[in-house]
Amino acid sequence: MSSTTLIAGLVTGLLLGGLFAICALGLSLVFGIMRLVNVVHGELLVLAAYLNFTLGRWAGIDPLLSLLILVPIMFGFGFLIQKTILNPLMNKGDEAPLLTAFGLSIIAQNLFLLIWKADTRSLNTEYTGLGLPVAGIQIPLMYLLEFVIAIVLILLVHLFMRKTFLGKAMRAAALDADTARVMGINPKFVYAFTYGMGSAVAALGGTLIAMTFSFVPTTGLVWLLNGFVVVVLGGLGSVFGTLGAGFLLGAAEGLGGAIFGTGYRELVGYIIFLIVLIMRPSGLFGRSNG
Amino acid sequence: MDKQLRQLKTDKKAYGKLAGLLGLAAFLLLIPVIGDSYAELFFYLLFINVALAQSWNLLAGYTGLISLGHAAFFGIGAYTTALVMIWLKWPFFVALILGAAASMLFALIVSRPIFRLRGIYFTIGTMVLAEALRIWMINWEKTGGAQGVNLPLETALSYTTMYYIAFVLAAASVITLAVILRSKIGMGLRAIRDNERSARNSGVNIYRTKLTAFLISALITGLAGGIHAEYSGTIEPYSIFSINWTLTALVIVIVGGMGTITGPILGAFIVGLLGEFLIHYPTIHLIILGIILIAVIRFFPGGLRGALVTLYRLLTEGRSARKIAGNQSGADAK
Repeated sequence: MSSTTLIAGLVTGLLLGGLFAICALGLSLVFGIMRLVNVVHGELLVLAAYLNFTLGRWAGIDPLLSLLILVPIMFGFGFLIQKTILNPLMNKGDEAPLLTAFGLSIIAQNLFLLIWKADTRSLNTEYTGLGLPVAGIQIPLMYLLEFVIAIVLILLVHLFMRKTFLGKAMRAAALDADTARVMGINPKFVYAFTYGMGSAVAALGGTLIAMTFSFVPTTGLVWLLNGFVVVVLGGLGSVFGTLGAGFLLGAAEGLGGAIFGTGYRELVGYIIFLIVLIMRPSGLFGRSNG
Repeated sequence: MDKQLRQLKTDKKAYGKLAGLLGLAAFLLLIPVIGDSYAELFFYLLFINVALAQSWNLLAGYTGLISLGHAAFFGIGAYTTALVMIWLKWPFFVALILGAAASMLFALIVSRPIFRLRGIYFTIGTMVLAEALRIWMINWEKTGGAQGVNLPLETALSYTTMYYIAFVLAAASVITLAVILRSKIGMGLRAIRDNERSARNSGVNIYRTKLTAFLISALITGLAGGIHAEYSGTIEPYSIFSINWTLTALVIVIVGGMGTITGPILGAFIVGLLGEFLIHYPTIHLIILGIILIAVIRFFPGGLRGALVTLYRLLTEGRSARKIAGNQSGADAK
């Protein structure tokens, strides 16, 4: 194995880590603000991919341009899911919302199968297959794009959480829902907003997945697990931690894929995850108090 | 006098329960004789599902450990059983025991680190662990990789034999749970589920008690995997390590009634019947199951068993209330 292969694996993996961070961000928000393990997050990504696919078929719009329509739709959809289905369970322990999200995931996967069939799909444009040769390494354009988008997105979300009233309300509700209520914040609204925000970010993530790779109705599981790895490594609800962990996971999987073969890529990520989870249950970049 | 009467009543109730169970067992034992191969398949799957559900129930319902990685135990049981039969040419029953042992060994190895994870982290950890194992098996050429392996055809047991083996497993899993829950371990488990700290203060050995439940759960699931491998004749990692095994167990337990013994049996019947009803529409079957799961969690947290018990109480209390009212009006008339 040449050192070029290793470096190529490391660099492309690191860049792809941006996509991991984007796809994990929604999971991280929902997890951090309301302690909900949103196991249907993978299906939200895939739903966005399918909706974008259908929009492209009907109107022939560029997938990235479709996001202008798709992001608000997914936000509203997420808002409604939380408001009608999950909010009534929020004070009934961790298990009820988790298992309900599991039920939603089963329903979603089978609806995809029913509506869009089991065929492998992807979003192709003139530029999705392009690559840039840098120092003898072929770097896919999409990876580069995802790397940049991830950094911008994380910065935006960070600013939102720090500077806006809603962002502060979200963090307040996460710390102590009862005190937040006394201060005039409606936790149920904040939860619905958070879930909507997570779904809106999933619209971006799902679109990028479909432009970079391909997808089927069950693709969500892999991205959910990748998301778990990123969220736990990054620390509960830490926005910058999500970015750092995304890059780390990308680099580790890229390197692992170069050494052991592409079939073992995800296994490398999972094993690192399990080791870190056991050594430091609050994550690599995490503060113990969230 | 009153005490004796009450004792007599509970005895009567217990005997009634026992008679009902024996009747059910007799009916199930006769299925291969009186039913067709279709009924045999239905009940075979029901038995496997009851065993899986009870083993998941032991962890989730009685210990508070929500595992999403049960497919790992199932897969290890199935693969070990198959490989011992293929590589060593040992008979099925020996292989099955080794399969269950391998599943328990895996549980023992992962137990110490995985028990450090609390609540949702335990759930995520078990899910990732099972997926890691699945990817490993898909890529590992020694065990057939993605193609999987075929079990020896010449020594294959008949479907009817497998039916009875699965029946024994299902019955044994129900009896095991009933016995454990009446023991000191069962009390410890429920104490841990309700409040781990006060359980520790009351002298419950947390690690050992959890480990016992974990090992028994791995044993039952591993046996189910081994039996299913022999029944199927061929196994491959995608379906054997599929999260669907965990999913089925979870849905059955929650729909039937978590933390009870009869609940999962009821749940397995309902899920099985719905599956038969919608046999040509598997996607719609799963969509409906998802909806039922969500509705049960929201409106009947005790599952169908809980709903039935409430209904029964409402009816009988209504009757006794009327009786009292009737007596009183009679007394008034005097």
